[in-house]
Amino acid sequence: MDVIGYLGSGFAVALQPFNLMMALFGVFIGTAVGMLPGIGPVNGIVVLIPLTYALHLPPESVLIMFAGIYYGSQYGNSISAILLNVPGTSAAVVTALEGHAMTLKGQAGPALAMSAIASFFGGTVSVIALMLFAPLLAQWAIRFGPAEYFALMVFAFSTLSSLSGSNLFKGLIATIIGLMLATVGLDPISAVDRYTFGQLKLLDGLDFVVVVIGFFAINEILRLSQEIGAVHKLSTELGRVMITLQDFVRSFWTMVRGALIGFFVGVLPGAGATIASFVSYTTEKRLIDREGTFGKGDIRGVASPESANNAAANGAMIPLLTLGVPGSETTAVMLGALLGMNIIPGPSSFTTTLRFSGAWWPPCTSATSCC
Amino acid sequence: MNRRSDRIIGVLLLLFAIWYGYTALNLRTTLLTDPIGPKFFPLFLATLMGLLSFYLLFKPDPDPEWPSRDEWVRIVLITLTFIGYAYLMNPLGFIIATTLEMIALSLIFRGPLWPAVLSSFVFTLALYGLFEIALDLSLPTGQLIKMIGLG
Repeated sequence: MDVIGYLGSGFAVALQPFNLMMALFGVFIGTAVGMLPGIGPVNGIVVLIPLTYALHLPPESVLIMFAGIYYGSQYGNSISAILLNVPGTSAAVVTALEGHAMTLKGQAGPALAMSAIASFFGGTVSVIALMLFAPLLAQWAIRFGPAEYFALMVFAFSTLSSLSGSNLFKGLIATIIGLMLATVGLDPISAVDRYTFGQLKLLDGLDFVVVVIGFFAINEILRLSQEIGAVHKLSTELGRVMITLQDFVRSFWTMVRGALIGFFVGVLPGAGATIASFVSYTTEKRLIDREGTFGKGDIRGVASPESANNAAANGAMIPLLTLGVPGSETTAVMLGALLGMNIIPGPSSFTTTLRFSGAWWPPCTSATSCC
Repeated sequence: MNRRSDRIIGVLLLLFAIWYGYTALNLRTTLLTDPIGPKFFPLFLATLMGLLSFYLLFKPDPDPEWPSRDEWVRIVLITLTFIGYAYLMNPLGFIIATTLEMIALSLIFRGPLWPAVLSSFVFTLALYGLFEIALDLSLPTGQLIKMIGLG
């Protein structure tokens, strides 16, 4: 079996001490960055992109480090969400809802422990799912032609609009603004310059990283400026940072469902961790919330979104590595970094893609367990 | 004020879509064009944007979140400091420009003055050290510092 061969060589790459170190480093940076409200995995990776060029790191190590940042920040997010009710990114909003309610009840410790365990659980389940499905998807993806790509793009854009939340039309408008920004520069086919206003600098189009920083970082500062004076009550009551066996048994199927929902939502381009956590939480609420304890500090309400958002972090890697279509903002930035290293993930570079996928599956497991 | 915010955006988007589409119509075409040509995609986007802006005009959000007067002042101030930062980067250099920008932001966020000055300067120096020394990526030194002869 090819798959097992690739996986074996993947483990060989991943278990090199240097790469393990990169995984640990990535998780550490990710957790630190994720804890800071308003700074998400996107910013962490954007800041580190120049570093990876400057140090001439091999692409595998870079990918491993980025994966570590991605997983670490998912967990780091939940720390500030649970303790301070400040979700670092939208993916931790649901965790904040339930986890902060637990903190107010003096159960911050169990909430943090549950969040770590559920993250690990969701991450591990989805890594296994990834090993089973990614090669299948990759085999299928190699036969992708223009028609299939067109269909995929239509699909990607239709799911993109679901990111917009309450107002579909505003989501569509945002999507079109993005597409309009992308038309700046030379038309790829006829090489006619569009919207360059005679500026030579604009012939290449707008730089991806610049656009990301403009839309995410500056936006975040403007948003934060509206929250001056909003005092976040800090509870000092931590409780034991452990969960009881009973809690684990109670939350087990919640975590399984969260992981599966998270994985499949994560695979869809444009959906990602935020949608996954919301879908998973609302599903659990409908399924098991008989006593009406959800929203008032139910430990299963922490397990569900955390398992889902970590699983989604893995799921989002499938379209990135096999199709070259990023499934979330973070993977979009990763794609940018990889393109900068002359690696074009997708059907055209099928074998290199497989080599990478093989290389990062195993460290994912170690990365999630570091959390 | 409340129902109007979406309508304002709707009008702005509609005007933008018209300008965008009009610019696309005037794109010069070369002899070597493909059957679709460079005009098609922008025109397609302009049409969609125009239709969507009508939606905002006729069905605005009945209860939008409109920033208060104070918040508006802050948003405008922050945006102005960023524009200023971009223009000051080359003449003043990274260290001075970034320190000033951070002090300005700290003050807008109602931080105390002296801690803001100190932490801005230390953080800027740390960033400069990280990029110039550790990463070997050059940041603009600035004409001012070069003129004094420190650069």
